[in-house]
Order: sequence, then C-alpha cells, then structure tokens
Amino acid sequence: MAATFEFNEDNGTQTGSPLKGTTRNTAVTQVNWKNTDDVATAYSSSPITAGNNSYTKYQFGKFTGTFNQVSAGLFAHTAGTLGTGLTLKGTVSSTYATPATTANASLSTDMTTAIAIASGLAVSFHTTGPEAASPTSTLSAVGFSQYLATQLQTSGSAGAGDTATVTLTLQYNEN
Amino acid sequence: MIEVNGQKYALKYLFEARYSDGNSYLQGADDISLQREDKNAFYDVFYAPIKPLEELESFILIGDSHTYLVSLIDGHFEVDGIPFRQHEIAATEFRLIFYKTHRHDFNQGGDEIGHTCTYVIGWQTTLEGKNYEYKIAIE
Repeated sequence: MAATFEFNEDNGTQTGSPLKGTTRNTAVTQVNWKNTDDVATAYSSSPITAGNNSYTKYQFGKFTGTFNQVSAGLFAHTAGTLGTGLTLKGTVSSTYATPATTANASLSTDMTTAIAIASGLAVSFHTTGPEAASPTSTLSAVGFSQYLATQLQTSGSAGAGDTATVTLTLQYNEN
Repeated sequence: MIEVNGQKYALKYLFEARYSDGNSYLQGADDISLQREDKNAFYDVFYAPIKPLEELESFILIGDSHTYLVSLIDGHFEVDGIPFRQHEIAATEFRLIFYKTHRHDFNQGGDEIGHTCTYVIGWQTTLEGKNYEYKIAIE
C-alpha cells in the first residue's frame, strides 16, 4: 500500500455544517483562475475581464493510504511573476463561502510576489474535511488539509491574454 | 511507494534500522508495517517499535547507489561510509528523526503538477532544557 496524495477542489453554493462546497472535485491538477466556479471549464472559455476578479478557488490536499504522521504544512506562491494589474490574494482557512467574483476580503494575504516555501502560510489538517473546525498541525490518519483559497484580482490596466505561468506550492512532512 | 494524483512513484531510498543485538529491520518496497496493514514500515521502528528504541544503534537510507547513516550512539553521520559530525554539544541521548518532505507544485496556466520528495534523517536531544536537532536532507 502507498501513502497517497491528491488535490481536491470545492465548488458551488455553501452547504452543510460546517459549510463546504456543494460539489467536491477530486484529483484536480490545475488552478486556473477564471470567470466561472468549476474545475472542468477551460479558462480560455471563461476569461476574466480586466477590472474584474476570478471566482475564489477553494482547493485542498487529501491524504490517504499508509502513513504515520503528516505535519509542517506550508502554502505559498513560489515561482513566476504576474503581470501589471494582477493581484493574487489568498489564505489558508477552514471557512468556505459560496465563490463569487467580488473581491474576497477573507483572502487576507497578498500572494502576488513569489516567496520561498519556508515563508509560506501555515497549513493545518483534519480527518473530516478541509471545512472541519479545530484543525491540528499534524494528521495521523486519513484526512485533509485546510482550504487553500485564492483569487486573482485584476485592474483595468491588466493586459489581455494568458497570464504568465506561476507556481503555487503545498509542502508538508510525512513519515 | 508514493502515489500522487494517481501516479505511483517507487521510494527512492529504503531504510535499514540496525540494532545493538546485530539484527536489522529492512523496509520493504511495499512499505507495509509487520503489525498493521494500514501503517508503513516506520511504524514498526518508531511509533509501535517492535524492538526498544534504546536498542536502535543506527538508521540508514539506501538507494541510488548511495548510503546515508545517522548514528544514535554518538550522533555522527556517514555518506557512503565517510563519517562526519555536525554537533559540538555534549549530547548523550540521540532520538531518531526521519521524515520525507513532500513538495507539490501547481504550475498554473500549464496544467502541470510537480512533486518532489526530500528524505530527512537525523537526531534530536534535550540539553539543559533546550532542544537541539541535527539533520541531513537527501534529494
């Protein structure tokens, strides 16, 4: 058996208690900010108009298989430079809200500039889900990271076309 | 074995735990505990040790034609049999440190995802109320 990891993403209207997305997408392999709240739609089919923002994306890690402990979670924008008029805002949180294009005030970290992962936001974990209350700094059974929430915010000076490629990183220790 | 988004990767290094009685515990490629099928081999060495941790003399990573050893007798390290020492403190207790640091990268805009795994071995001790750690990281 293996230690397994995959990225997941919640989309849709907030639901349940604690709140989470209506749809939980598994095995997500990209984080394309766009003008729709889903995983499947190509970003080219749902572009963000300059002066507007993407829908907030709520992604998280899922840990299954065999491991003893996951710890020391960190999240950051670690490579690549966004162009003029583009601001990447983000946070690590257990709080889900129905994604929208209004500037999300809960995303309190300006992640526009790439930094070393060691300076990233601390990530906690829970066996129930990213939305679970009282997450802990270590995970000793199958479980999830908190939400890694991001939104690309644009001004009228943002240039048309694809943004530059940027890298977001989730790092953790496992044994 | 590590599995990331459905892609399986063999462990680059397997460990050997050597004990004072001359016996060793060798991590298998399937990395499953001898005691619990939902746990990995390190569970048998550290979390529910099948031999007392006090009897663990050295912990070795083997792979890619190299060996990396940490001694839990005197805290020295070895790379391919060449010893070196990081510490100058007068430690007498050496508690094993072992973990893998996983880094998952979203390459936004490229629909790519990258994964790197760094193996960390070392030891920690408490001296006059202060905790010290000495580790090496192998990529």
